[in-house]
Amino acid sequence: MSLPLNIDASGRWMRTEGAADSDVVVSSRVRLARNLNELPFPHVAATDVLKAVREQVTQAAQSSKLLQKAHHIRLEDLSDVEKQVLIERHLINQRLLESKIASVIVEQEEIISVMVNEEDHLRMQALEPGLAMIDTWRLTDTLDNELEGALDYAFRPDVGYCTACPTNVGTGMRASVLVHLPGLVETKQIDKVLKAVSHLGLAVRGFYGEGTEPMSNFFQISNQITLSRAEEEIVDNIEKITKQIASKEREARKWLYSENHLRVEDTIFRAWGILRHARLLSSKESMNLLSSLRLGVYYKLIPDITPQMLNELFVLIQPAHLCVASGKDLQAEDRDVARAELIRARLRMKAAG
Amino acid sequence: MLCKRCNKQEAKIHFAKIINNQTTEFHLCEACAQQMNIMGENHEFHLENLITGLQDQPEGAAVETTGLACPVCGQTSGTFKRTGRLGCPRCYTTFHDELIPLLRKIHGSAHHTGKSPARAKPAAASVRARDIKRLRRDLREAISQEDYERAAEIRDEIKRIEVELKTEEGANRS
Ligand SMILES: [Zn+2]
Ligand SMILES: [Zn+2]
Repeated sequence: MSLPLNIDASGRWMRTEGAADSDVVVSSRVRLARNLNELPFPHVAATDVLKAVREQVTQAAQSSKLLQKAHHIRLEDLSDVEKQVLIERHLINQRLLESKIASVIVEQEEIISVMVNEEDHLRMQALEPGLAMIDTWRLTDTLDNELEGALDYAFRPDVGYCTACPTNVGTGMRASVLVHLPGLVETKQIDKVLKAVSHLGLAVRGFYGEGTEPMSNFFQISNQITLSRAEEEIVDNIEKITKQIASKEREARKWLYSENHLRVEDTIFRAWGILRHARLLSSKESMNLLSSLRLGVYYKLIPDITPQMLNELFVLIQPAHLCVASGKDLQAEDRDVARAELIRARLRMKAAG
Repeated sequence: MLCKRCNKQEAKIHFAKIINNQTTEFHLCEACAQQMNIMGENHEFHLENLITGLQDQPEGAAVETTGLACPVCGQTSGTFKRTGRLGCPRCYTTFHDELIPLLRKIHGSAHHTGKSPARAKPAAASVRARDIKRLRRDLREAISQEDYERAAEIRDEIKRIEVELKTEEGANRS
């Protein structure tokens, strides 16, 4: 076991309580793409170049205050299931696995991480709970400044930070929020909202857990344009639009409850019952039920459970987490058993913990 | 909402693009997004692959396929058109002329206004004067094509650069 992370808990971004708008917004993320000057981008670089890049970034990270106590994880040292754990925790993505010489630098709380040799030489990100676009940007900006002190970034005054793909050039920034919109889905207003958002220069997509089905009622909203807008402008735009979506979502939740509170309560308490007693839970079913339960927490129908506990569960019930926690390579049915067990145990715990 | 491409499955990916001055909405199901190569196996977004699609759009001033190759990484213009990716930072200089119209299509403008590294020198005034010249040419072209939306964008860009140049002049004098 070479993963230095505590896999019984999620990163701090999923656990922190009291974050702004956390009834609707799960997390805020800012990612910056950076490359080293005069070196080929990872997808065409030779192995020795990739090694040199990794060496340089590792050195640079040691001079960064924010990354002082960070873990340096080289992908070739990990088993397949451990790599999947990093994906499930949003610390790396599938594409990094395709790189020959890759690593990820993860700060202890898992708020900050840097992928090395993904599509670009560096992909750094900060991930904060709730709606905190501006803080998240500031943190990423600080990290970027620290690393810049030790690295020679590829930058051109006219087009900004050079990236392997022209869709990222300029700021190299992708900012996104993960939102939970059961009210808008249930009241069938979601299509209208998604259309409106897509016209504001933002892209929306379903959010994926295990397998091919998007997680019910969760959506990721991000900027499409990275060039010709300043970073502050981009994050500010997302923050404002997300606030509007959140208030629409709350209106929908209120309307649903006042319209037919028995039906709402029935759905939520059924979810609560199944989650606390089921012996076999597939990933898809758990996600759907946990989404209902999250709404129940908002309506204050479910005592002692916080949205943060549920956020954390969404990560911990994924396959690689279940396998590593049990110390075995579980098959699908065994995972459903382990998943149901974990959920039962967690939902019996008091929120205080 | 149903996928606008196959009209069968539920759309899961939503965005809009301004292509040839028309806002085109994309509401795609997963299967269609994968067929269009803009979503990978692990549900990651690969919008860049839309670029290869974008380049197929007829263009006012058609880009002739040049025999250009990047002096640092050796990538050719053909490879870029096929993969949608560049080989190295220098490619941005090598393929500058074909990249600029493409960047405008993707981002609406081709002028960086965000952060810059502390040690990067601001673009030399001469470089930006050249930018302005090029933009004025584009502006005339847009107007002659009665493409007023784009003309307005270009005009804004020119203004922005002019303001930057003025501020610097002021700073240099004081
Ligand atoms: Zn479709
Ligand atoms: Zn090159």
